[in-house]
Amino acid sequence: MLEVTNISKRFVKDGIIIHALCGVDITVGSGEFVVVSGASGSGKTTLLLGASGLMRPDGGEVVIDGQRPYELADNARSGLLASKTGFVFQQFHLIPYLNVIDNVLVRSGAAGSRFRRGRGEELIGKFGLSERVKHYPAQLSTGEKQRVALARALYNEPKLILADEPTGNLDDENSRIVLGYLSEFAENGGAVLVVSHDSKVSEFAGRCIELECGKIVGEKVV
Amino acid sequence: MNIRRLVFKEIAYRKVNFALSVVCVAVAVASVVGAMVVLKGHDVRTGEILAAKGAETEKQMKALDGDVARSMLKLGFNVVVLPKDQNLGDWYADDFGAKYMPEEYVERLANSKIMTVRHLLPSLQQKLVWPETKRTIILIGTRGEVPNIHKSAKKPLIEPVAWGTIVVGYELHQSLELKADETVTLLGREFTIAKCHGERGNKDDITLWIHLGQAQEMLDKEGKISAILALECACAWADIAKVRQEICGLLPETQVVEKGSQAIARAETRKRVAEEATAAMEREKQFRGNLKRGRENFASVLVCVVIAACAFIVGALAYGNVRSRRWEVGVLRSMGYRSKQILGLFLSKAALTGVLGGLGGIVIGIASGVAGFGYLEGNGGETIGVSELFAGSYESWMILFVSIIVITPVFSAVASWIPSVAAVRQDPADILCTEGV
Repeated sequence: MLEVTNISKRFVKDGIIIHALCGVDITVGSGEFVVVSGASGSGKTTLLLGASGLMRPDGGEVVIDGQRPYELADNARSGLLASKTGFVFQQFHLIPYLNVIDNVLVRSGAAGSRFRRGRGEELIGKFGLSERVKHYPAQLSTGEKQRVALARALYNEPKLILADEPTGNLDDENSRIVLGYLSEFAENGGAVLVVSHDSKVSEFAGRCIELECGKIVGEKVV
Repeated sequence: MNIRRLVFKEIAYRKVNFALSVVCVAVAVASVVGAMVVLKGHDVRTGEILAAKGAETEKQMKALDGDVARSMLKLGFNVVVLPKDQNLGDWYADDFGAKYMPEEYVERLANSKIMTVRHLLPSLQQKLVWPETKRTIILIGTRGEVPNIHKSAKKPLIEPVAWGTIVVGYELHQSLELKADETVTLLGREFTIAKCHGERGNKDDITLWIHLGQAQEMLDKEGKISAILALECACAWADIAKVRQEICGLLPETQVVEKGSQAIARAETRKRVAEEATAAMEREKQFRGNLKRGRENFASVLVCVVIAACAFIVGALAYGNVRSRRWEVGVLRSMGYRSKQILGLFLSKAALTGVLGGLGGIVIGIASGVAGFGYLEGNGGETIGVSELFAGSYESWMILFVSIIVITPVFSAVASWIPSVAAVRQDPADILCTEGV
């Protein structure tokens, strides 16, 4: 589902070149739950953004479900992101002026998507938020916010979920709930790539990759 | 979930930001519309003032026409037809002629088709010493007005002096203590005094008027006259050359001189009044024109400053709005929203701001313009009515309003354009990294 081959990325900050990624290879197949862990500054987020089609790498190749996002035009790449991927952020990034149902349905406005209110309500029900449909993000707990974000990511029935520290702001209970959903998504044939330094994530992952200074230093199958 | 719904939801969420933007656009539009209303009001009021002045002048001119007509009626003679051999120097010096021409000339003139001459009064005049009283007098024999057969009958200006009667000038009847109906002797003939004239302050005061036939007999000038006094109509006063040309064409053995006429003086006065009225109108026009130019200059500066300030504020608000929503741009891009859709999200909000601000600005502009015009004119708050404002220029106002409704969204979109494009062009990954994904 996701093939990342030899990608590299460097940044220049205050005249100093920082090699965020140095020839990283990752493959995430359908039904796989892969976690990339590492210390802060190890290149986890850069890897995730590069793999998602949001940040063009300096070198290497990214293939999502057979398509190379960085070789596509803007519209086509947007269509690929809308239909194949779902993104979950540590800060949730729910849109503050939309209530719960609208925050899920907002994905229907993306390229190539269609409006399916039933699908949105189904996901909200699945994540135990039926009582919160009309509530706004400011009225939700952090766990509820992340569940809404997860529902939003799943709305278009993507094949790949990319999550950046999805449990970073959650307590243990909510972390396990969210990871449980991600695990369930993988069990149902989806591909999940999570970057996190939370050890709990490894308990749900099928494979763990250790990143250090932009290089893979270890990989183990759980 | 479409862009329109997102726009409305965002507006409802950030009401103050949106309201401020709408107010800014409304103020900018109101300044334009208000200035237009004041300038239009100025034109309408100027038209009213000039029309009122014109009507007043017209009224005065009509009154003067009446005065002139009355003056002409009383003062009468405008030209004098004299024999060609009459020395004009003597005539001007003595104010009567010593040469004679056939009385038949007046008949010829009366029967002609000359239209400029209305009233003809033949006379025989001679300066002599009244032997019975030893007084120097001017004796005038007159037969009254000779009717013109080609013109409609008019009341004669001067009644004829009846045979055997005499009319006495002021100085003579005063000094000789003569009264009407008394009998006087002139050159051995007795006359009954028909009338004693009031003081005129000219040679008439030493003049005696008798019937022309009697004068011809007494002076041994039968069939002769010394002058024809011709009183022409008011329309001919300004073209004495034409009168002269016509009479001399008919009576080649005559010459025509202009009688120093008060009617002409009055006509000239009337002309001067007309010129003064015209000048007053011009001065008013100039004053109103200068006032309008001043107002236009002030309005153009004010409008430019207001529009620039409002554009800056709208731009700053748009920039602030886009800046605070950068992460939203990143998230929407990560969901697969196209950059055009996100640009539309910001610009359609700006366009809506422009439409609402434009509509509000039109209403505020008309109201403030009407109120401001009353204040500027300083007529105790008297201002221009909206119907008066639109009268005759409804279409041009509609064009202006439609233009505003079209232009203000563009204006707002332009003000929001740079920050919106900057946000959309930014790499979503950069935004998400900066915003702490």
